[in-house]
Amino acid sequence: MHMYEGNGWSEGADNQFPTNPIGKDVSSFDGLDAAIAYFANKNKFPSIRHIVLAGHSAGGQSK
Amino acid sequence: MNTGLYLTSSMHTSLARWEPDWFPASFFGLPGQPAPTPYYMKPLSTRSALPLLETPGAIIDRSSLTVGDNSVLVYYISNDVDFSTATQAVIVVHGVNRDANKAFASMQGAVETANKNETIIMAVRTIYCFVKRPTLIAAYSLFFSMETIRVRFQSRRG
Repeated sequence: MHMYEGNGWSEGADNQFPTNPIGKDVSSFDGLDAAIAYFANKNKFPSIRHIVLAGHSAGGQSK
Repeated sequence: MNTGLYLTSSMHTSLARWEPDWFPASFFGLPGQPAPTPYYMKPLSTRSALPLLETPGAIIDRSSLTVGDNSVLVYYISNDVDFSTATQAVIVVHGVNRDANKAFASMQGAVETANKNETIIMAVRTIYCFVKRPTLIAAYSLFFSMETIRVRFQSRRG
């Protein structure tokens, strides 16, 4: 589980811990990018034409 | 998430911004940052440990979506929709309560009147966790400091 201080995660900040000892920390936006890229895979989702990003509360602010 | 992977001394160093780099003074009962209240302890110590709840119409994927170098995005995703014919995907990001199962269910209800068979819903469960106050970080700094010491001690004993 990645943890972000205060509102940092909704602003795309890197996670504060656990710090990755062998690589790059993870921005909260990296997670959203990965989710969108997941549906952009035409091999798995050949008919997808729209990707809607929705969120509740702080989840909505992160967009 | 394999948080155990990160129990290293480097993590302790990274948390030292609110605590001295040496062993926290609060451990010895000396004045330090105020201890977090149970209210602020709750989001990380108990809520994060809750098991994922099963949700009708969804499966929980814990492995297929990686983020960064070695992190995994856990999410609920529709299991009653044909991925090859679906035309729309809805990604739902939960709020501070990290209740992705409820986010999934509410979105499922919202699209039910639309063309449900063409809509895939994804509700991310993590990687997000909120730290409301630096004092909470301090508490975890103490915890992980102790963990780090324990790990070091064990490694010395072989």
